Amino acid sequence: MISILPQLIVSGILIGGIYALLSIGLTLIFGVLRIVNFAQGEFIMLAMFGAFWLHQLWGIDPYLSIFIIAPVIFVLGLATERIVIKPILHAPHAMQIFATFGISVILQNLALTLWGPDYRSIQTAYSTQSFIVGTVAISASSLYGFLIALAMAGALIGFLQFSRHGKALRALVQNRYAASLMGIDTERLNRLAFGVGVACAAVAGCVLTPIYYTFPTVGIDLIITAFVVVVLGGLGSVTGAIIGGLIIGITQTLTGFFISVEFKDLIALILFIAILLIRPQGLLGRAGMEEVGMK
Amino acid sequence: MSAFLNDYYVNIAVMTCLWAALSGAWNLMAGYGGLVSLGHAAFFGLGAYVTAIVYTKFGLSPWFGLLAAMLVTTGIAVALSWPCFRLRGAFFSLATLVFPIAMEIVANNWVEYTRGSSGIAIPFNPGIENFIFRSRLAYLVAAFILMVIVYLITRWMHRGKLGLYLIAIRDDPATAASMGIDAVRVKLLVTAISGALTAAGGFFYAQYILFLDPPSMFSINVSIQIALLSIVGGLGTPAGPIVGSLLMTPVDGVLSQFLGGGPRLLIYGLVLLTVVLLAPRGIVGSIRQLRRAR
Amino acid sequence: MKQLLAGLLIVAAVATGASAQEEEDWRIGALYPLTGNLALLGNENLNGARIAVDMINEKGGVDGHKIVLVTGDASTPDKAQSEAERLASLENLDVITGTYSSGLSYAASQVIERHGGLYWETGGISDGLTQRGFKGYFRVVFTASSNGQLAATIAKEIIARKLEKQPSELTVLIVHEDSDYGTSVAKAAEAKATELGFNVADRLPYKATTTDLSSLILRMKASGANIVIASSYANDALLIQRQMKQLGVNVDAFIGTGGIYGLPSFAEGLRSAVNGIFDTEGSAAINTAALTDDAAALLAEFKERFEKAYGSVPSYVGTQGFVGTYVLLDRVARKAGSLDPEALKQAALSLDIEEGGTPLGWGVKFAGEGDPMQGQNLRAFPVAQQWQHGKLVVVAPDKFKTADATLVPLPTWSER
Repeated sequence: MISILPQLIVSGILIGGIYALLSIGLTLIFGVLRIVNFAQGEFIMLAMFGAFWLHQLWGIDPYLSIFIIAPVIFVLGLATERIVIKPILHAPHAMQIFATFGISVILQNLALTLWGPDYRSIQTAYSTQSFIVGTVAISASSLYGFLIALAMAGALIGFLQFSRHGKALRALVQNRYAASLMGIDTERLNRLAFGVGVACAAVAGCVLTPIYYTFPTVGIDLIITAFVVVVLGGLGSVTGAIIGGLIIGITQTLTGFFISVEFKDLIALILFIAILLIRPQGLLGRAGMEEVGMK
Repeated sequence: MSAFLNDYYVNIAVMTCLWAALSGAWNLMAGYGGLVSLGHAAFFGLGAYVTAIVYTKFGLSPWFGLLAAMLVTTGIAVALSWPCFRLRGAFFSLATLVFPIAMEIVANNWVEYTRGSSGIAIPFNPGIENFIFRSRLAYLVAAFILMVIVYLITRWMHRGKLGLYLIAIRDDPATAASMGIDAVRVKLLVTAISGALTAAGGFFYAQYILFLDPPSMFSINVSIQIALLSIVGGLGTPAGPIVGSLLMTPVDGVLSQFLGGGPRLLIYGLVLLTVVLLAPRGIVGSIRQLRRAR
Repeated sequence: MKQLLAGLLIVAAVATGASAQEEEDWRIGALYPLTGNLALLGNENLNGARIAVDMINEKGGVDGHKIVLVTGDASTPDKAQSEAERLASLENLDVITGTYSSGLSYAASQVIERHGGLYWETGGISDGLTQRGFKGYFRVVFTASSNGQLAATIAKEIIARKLEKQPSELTVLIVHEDSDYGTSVAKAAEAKATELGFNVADRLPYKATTTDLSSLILRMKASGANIVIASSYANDALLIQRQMKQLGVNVDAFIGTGGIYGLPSFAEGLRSAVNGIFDTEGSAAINTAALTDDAAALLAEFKERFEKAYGSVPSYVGTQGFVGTYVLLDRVARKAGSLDPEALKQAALSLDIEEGGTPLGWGVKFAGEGDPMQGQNLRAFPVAQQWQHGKLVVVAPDKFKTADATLVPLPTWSER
């Protein structure tokens, strides 16, 4: 039993990387706009369909298609922000939830209408490949996903730390009112953040295409875990999303093996509630973040 | 006239009343207390399951089931929500989102009582003592009564101290506390009322549909549907959930009659988005605003 | 005598061909989940039924009546009962076919039974559906437990034999998604495997929506299973195979129990690695030599039409929709001479089609009143298939097989 422990930890870390990848966009959008984007999973789904079709029609590798799909979804994000998010920024948060939920229903059924309910998959050389290190097998597709998650997080953190827009965004996160007094164009930054947030979802979608089936409701399955990860890591914290993803990934794999596969999802939920109660701002979230709400 | 008494229309009317009642129960928490629960499917499913277990497993009348369902659900609603009260805004919603997911896992595995994933099929034995009726009109009367009870409770709250306290806590917790309002007690009270009424809705569903299984009872879609009607009708107004249900439930029925598949839900989503964007106070709220503006 | 009568009827139909055109259409309801997460196979089931209706209509309908399908979208039990009520009381339909999923069938058939109508199940396989004593509920397809039992049976008859081992020397692990379908099939497989003397390591349920199954695969590895029996939903099936490969878990045989395991998308997701995997369910690829000439011709025509209409080979789910609906129209409705539910029920109960008489190889004989499985077709059965060269072939029972089982034990992943 103990001999399998290293494998369990490695598998947990790898799936944790995937979870982080799913969560980074969500946490960014929340950090800046204070909105939980319930349609995030559907943006992932759209990107998966995009990567699927690019591979199917022109044989483009899903990792390469990131450079085509992420910009497209980014623009879609800008439009969505303009049409749906901006008008509800100051609405009660029930409205915010249901506005993004409305987007999710629309995108899901648009996909169902356009492409039908079939399960589609592509198989690349690395879909089932793995690297063997000693007694431990490392899944290639998950490893690449993990590395892409890290790269994306690094790029985002770099952007937030050093670029002009990034600094302005951080100012916005800290104090929206003061930031606007300082002449920061909050509306433009909101749009930028939402666009980048869903573009992150697009990256995740491209990475997942060689791993999972692509179908209209795939987003729902993926996003619940992302919520858990984001809350655990601290809504708004990119580093938190990575750490949160790893913790959930490892915990789930261990419970799945030692207790019961079925309860591994339950354990994530229990962890989720526990974190909310003990440290509602999440591991790396700023205290008070969860209380800002509408103000 | 007789065309309107067609069982299908009666069924739509029953569902309209049931959803209005469920949404009204949700509205107590969300509309007045700012506690936007995305977990009401848990209370709904629990109410239905307790009813069905009491009836099929213990052979007691569903009327006892109703009582048991309301008591058990209230207890669990309070126990689950209490710790979540410290969470505000979207965090409360996210926490409640997982209640039904957890319940579904329990219902799937506690086979001895819930029959696990195969669900409980309630035998059709009509009779008032079983709360099973041959005529859908009888169900309509019952659903209507349930809806009116929810409406009256909401109005009582809307006008009364409890409502004012809740709104005060929702809008400005610090001032509310300084006025001596015990926020936790008020929130617990409204959660208990909301949970009990939602369980009553679950009881009705069980005895009406006569079949329940974990994935459909504890579905996120139930939570969403419950909330959605209040949002469309008007959050925080007694009539809002009823108006929302009057509009959306028949629309859904008509859409599935004429449009199959994806397009139906596509339109449903567009209606939702349009209302949220163009009339963020919901129908009732917007009408009120227009009146005031005159 | 029967044939003579049928012949006379045809003559009569031809003779009155002109007036037959003016006969009133016969409308029957078709309730399937067309949206939501059951949409894929719900639509496939309905597509099969549509082909049956088209074929009947092109051959002059039933007694000159053109058949019209009125569809309803039953995506949840609540919608299922509401749509059933719409079809029954608004559209005034007495005959409903459906429903693909058992949970939906439970809810919808309650309504139809109360209306005294006929519910013709061409998809739901939960055993309990025909244990309710409903008078108007008929199920053409086999039950979940018969499918699970078959999986265990081929583990002994095909796999253990090929491995030249006794069941007691082999370890079986059963994994399944936790819905009604997965659970009831898996429990039946577990009971049967135990009865056959296998060493059953465990039965491991999981949630079908899960995003990772590495812990399941590692338990599979730790159990030392020789044979895995799996009931899966969609993504989980792909994850199991891909993660088995990534984690280097090799087994002697893998048996899927229908659903995704029999769909082209399963093969697409695995390419050559799909070869050797078993799948228990019905099959449109059975040996037509074991069918009556009529049934074989029907199957060929159905396959051709289905491919033309929907661009893909019909899966079992589509085929059962076709067979169920075709039997209803061609045998039951024709015999009853009307869509009156009482006449249809009588006609259904008197139906006696020998094995091989329908395109899936099944006969049709419904359990009558008083039988604990009232309304169940006692002559429906699943067959065992295997993926060979990217296609499903039937490997058991002997009468219906088109090829011998190969690749037992499964080659290691590096060789697949």
